[in-house]
Amino acid sequence: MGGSDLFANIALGLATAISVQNLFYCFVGVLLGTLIGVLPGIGPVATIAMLLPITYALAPTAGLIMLAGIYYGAQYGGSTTAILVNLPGEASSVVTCIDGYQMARQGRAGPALAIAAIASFAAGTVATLICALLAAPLAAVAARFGPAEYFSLMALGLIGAVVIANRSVLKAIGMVIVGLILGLVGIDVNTGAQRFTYGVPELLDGIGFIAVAVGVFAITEIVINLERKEKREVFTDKVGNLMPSREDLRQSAMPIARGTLVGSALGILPAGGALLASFAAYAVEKKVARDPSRFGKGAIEGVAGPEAANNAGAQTCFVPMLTLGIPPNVVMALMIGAMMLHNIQPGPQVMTKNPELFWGLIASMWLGNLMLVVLNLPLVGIWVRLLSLPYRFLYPAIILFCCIGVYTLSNNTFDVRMVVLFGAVGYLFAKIGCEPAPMLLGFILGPMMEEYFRRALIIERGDFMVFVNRPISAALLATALLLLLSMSLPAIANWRRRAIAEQGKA
Amino acid sequence: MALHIRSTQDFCTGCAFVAFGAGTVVLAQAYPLGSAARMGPAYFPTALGAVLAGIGVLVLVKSLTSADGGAVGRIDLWLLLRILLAVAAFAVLLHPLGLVLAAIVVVMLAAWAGHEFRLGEALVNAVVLALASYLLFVKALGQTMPVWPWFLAG
Repeated sequence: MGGSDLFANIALGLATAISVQNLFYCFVGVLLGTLIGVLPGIGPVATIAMLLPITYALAPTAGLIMLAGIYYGAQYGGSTTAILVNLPGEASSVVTCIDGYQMARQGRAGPALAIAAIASFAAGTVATLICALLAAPLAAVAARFGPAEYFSLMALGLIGAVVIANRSVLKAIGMVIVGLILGLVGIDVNTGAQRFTYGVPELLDGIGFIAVAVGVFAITEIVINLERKEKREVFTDKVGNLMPSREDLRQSAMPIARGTLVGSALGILPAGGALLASFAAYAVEKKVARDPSRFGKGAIEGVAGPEAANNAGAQTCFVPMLTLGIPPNVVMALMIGAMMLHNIQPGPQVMTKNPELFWGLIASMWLGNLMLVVLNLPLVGIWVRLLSLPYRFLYPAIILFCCIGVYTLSNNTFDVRMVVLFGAVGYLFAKIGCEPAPMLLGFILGPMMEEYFRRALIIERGDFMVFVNRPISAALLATALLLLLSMSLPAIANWRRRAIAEQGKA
Repeated sequence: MALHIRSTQDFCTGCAFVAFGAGTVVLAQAYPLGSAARMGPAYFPTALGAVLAGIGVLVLVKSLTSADGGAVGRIDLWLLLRILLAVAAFAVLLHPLGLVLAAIVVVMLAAWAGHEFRLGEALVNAVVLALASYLLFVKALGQTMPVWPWFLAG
């Protein structure tokens, strides 16, 4: 594919994204994203699950543009509160707290905010280009995949996702399988048989993934937050001069470049995305710094690097989702669910069958980043004031909007009842140290995985060797196995434990 | 050597996985199993259930040998129940009472579950949110759902 195609595609994307409707929903998305990014106690997963049903009424492109905006918008909002009040609005802004808050205490909140926004925007721009460049070759490779390769790719995606991001690999794999099993409820597409439906007509199409996501994320999160009984302090906001000095910009340039690279690379990998990217970028900055002792005391590199990385990661993680149909994290799994609601089969054919959706979404991310800079810098005072909104007003609103959102999906209260069930399940799982994210990944991939598994074996007349006889499939499975084995190496196990412990402090 | 549970979290997880996995295998037998070349509806669930039960056994073994998994913390069932009650109230009340009244009940129940519950303040929040959701979902987004109680809706 030549360069002119790329420009033609980007032009198509911009033309799509710039339509009045799409611009509007992009704006709504990044506005909501900033809002929930600022408010601790509600994250992008819960918000996207809650709002997904509403986007059902929109055109698929507009809906996905808005949902994507919520995700990367949350990265901006999260850093605002991290810098000003040492509260990470989002998990991916945890590291921004370290040096960003120190800068604020030294009266340099303005430059910290400005550098965070500039870093995010620069990284977003580069990451958008990377998405556009990588998408076509990846989709071309994937288009040649047979069912065996797809099955192995999904296995690798799932194992990669759980191995990197979870405390206990064994339990996370168990949760993936719990999700896979739950995903099987409903009519079996190959034989038409009803499985595990027990005469409940609402279960014929399977358990609604939105009900599961709202239950195990939004509702569980609320119960856990209420359990902690912590009171948030109300504070005053003094941002001061926003302009970073020439020295600030000079010091930040390289960290932004490095953060963008690290974030873009980690976003594409399984389990990637904003969270991992920001941690890795902070570690990189500390390593290359001439004087690492400055970190933790208001080093501007400690803001610039991770902020670039989390935004780059939030964007490049769309690549595997859009081109392969493999979600590298839960938010992308929800995006896949959203596409399926609109009857768009995720996979490499999205690019050829729905080019305006594909390129429009990518172009909208760049426009969205531009809006975010405008939204976040001049209006920072408004966002900060929102923080004084007590949680006791907030969570009943979240519960209500979850109920209404889930109801509107099918105009049936059945899914709302499923939320009750999965809220209880999610809470109990949280108590026994089982994370819900792998379950949701398995749940969404379950039906597709079974389909590819069966098709691969039908073609080869039941010969299980098909998965290792085909070179690409064998390589994918071998990588998955290596990933699993590498986790038992002491050095890697230690590194993982430290990284996860640091996340846990958040 | 006497066996004792070193990690209650892992122990409970192991039991849950074994139960859910074994349960899936048993329930799946109601459908035809088929063969690898021509899989019936029971094939994939049976395989998954068996693997899950196997992982459950491994987690159980781990819970007896390592304390890494940690202990189960306090479970606040009363809090959980009240939050779930708020959600359930929406499912039950929407059709007879309509969105506005159902929303008020949901918000009041949810607020009551918190530890900073104040009646007056919660009522104001409930009324504001009920009206806001009516304006947003029904008026602005055009969703169809009952808004007023059945006896007023005519």
